[in-house]
Amino acid sequence: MNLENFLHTIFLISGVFAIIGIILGIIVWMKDPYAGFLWLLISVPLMFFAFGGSGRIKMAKDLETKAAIGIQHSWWVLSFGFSGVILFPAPFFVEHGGSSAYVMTAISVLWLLLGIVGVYKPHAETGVSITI
Amino acid sequence: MDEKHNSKWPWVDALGDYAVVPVHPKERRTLTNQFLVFTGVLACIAALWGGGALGTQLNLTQLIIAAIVGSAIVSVIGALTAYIGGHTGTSTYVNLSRPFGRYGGFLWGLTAAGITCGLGWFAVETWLFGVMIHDLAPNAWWANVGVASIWGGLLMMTTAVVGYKGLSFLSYLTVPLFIVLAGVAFAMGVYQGGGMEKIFSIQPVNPVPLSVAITSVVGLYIAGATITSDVGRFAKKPRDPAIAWVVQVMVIMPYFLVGAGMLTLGMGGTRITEALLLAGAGLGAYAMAIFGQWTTNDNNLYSGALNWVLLVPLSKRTVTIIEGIIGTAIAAYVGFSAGASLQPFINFLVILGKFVPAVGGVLIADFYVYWWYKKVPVHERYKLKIGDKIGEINWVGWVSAILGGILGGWYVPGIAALNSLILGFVFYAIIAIVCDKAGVSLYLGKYTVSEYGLAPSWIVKRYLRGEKQ
Repeated sequence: MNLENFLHTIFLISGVFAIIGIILGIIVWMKDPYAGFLWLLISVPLMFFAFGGSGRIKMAKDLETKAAIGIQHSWWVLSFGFSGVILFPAPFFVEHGGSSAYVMTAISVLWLLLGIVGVYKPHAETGVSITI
Repeated sequence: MDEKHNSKWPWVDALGDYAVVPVHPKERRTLTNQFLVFTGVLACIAALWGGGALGTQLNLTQLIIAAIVGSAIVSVIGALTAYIGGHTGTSTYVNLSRPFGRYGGFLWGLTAAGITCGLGWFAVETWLFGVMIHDLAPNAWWANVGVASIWGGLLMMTTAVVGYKGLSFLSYLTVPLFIVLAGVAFAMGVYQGGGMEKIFSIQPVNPVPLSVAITSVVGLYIAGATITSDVGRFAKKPRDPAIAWVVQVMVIMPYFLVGAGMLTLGMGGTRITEALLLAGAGLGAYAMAIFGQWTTNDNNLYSGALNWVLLVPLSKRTVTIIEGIIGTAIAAYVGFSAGASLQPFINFLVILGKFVPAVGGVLIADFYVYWWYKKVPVHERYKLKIGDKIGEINWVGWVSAILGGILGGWYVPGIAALNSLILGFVFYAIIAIVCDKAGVSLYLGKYTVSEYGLAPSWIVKRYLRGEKQ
């Protein structure tokens, strides 16, 4: 798989799981808005960064620019995933969000891994800095 | 011939990390990078911790007003200095060499960044890190104030040793976490307070006047606002660091302040990290303590080392390690010694800190007023060029900063940091223009800029010896 398709795939998977996170967030919000806030605080921006990354890569002309955009947006996926891994298993959210908190922890781990790959691969293939 | 010696970029980076020469165009970063690094610096003491403290002093309406007004003042000052860094691509030290002369830039850079940030605040914040970790896990051996200061200090050194890339890496990883944590603190604060209506009616446990709170907000970050060039010089476009600064200060800073303040207000005056733990944020409370302090303190060490390398005949990496070990040792000593206090040390840093905004005021006056008066176009101002003559001492800058710091810091009522900055600005603008009209030179001695930028001669000799080997 070439780099561009690889990045589109990463962002598509991340975006789809972000939509699942938003749906779960709305469900938790209806039960307890204070807890549901976290689901939306992580999933909504992540969805925009994932699909936005894909859109920007399509518009970019050269491979280096595509790689740079891929790295930037993968960082957002990675770091929001990192936030989810730390916060979803916390007592407050497990108590108020129930099993949905565990589902989101698993999704966050996936985001974290996808983000790491999305930062590393464009850097390894094009030499673009990982902190562009 | 390596990248440091090519024809398009005529400089030789003898010190590393572009401490005394303009940043190479290939190393320039995006607006996103600038935003994340600035926000990483802001993320702990300056906003979340400060916001938590304000939540014990103000009601919610006052808290929002103080956050917005204070942030607006800091955003204007920081944007003006950040633009200078983005435009010139040079560090705070190099930029300060214009309004203070080469020796002045060195001395004030050492005072503001080398001593105050690199040694002083690094030690204080490493010790505070130990205190915070101890508060979170009082019975664990690894959370003893001294022990936590040691591993915390070493952790903070790692990214500072790597340099700007290390700072960027950590900011990229943690800034969204802080954005989420501030939102979580906000939601938990409303929950603990019993809803928005009730939280608006809660009265603070230690009330203070609004003006004092605005002073605190400005004081939290005004020193940072004067040394934005160290980050801004890495920007691709001159306006990027100014935009990144304004967005993070006007949007993220009030959001952090109010989010953290809401939680401590709702919890009745507990410290922010403890409040998060008690409210059920679990690992989030530890993450705030560890990463918040780390992202702020590695910047202290980094800025400090950038200035110390001009004085110490060692590489920047070695200087960073030595500086970090000294700061960590001080923090650990205080942590292990019951009864020992960092208060006299903090008082000394606060005194130095009163001069830092005055230095910023002088820099702003020189770049935006004096060079405008001299009819130099903005795109030409402060551009470092080989063969340029720079004053060894600009006496007007020295006089203005000392007067501004003393009068603003001790004698004029109001916000001390803002007073110093405004007075430094006014004194410099007036004295420099009057002297120019009277034909009195602002500069004593001249230094000719070489391909090594503003590197002292002994550094150039050491670099050439190393190159021959």
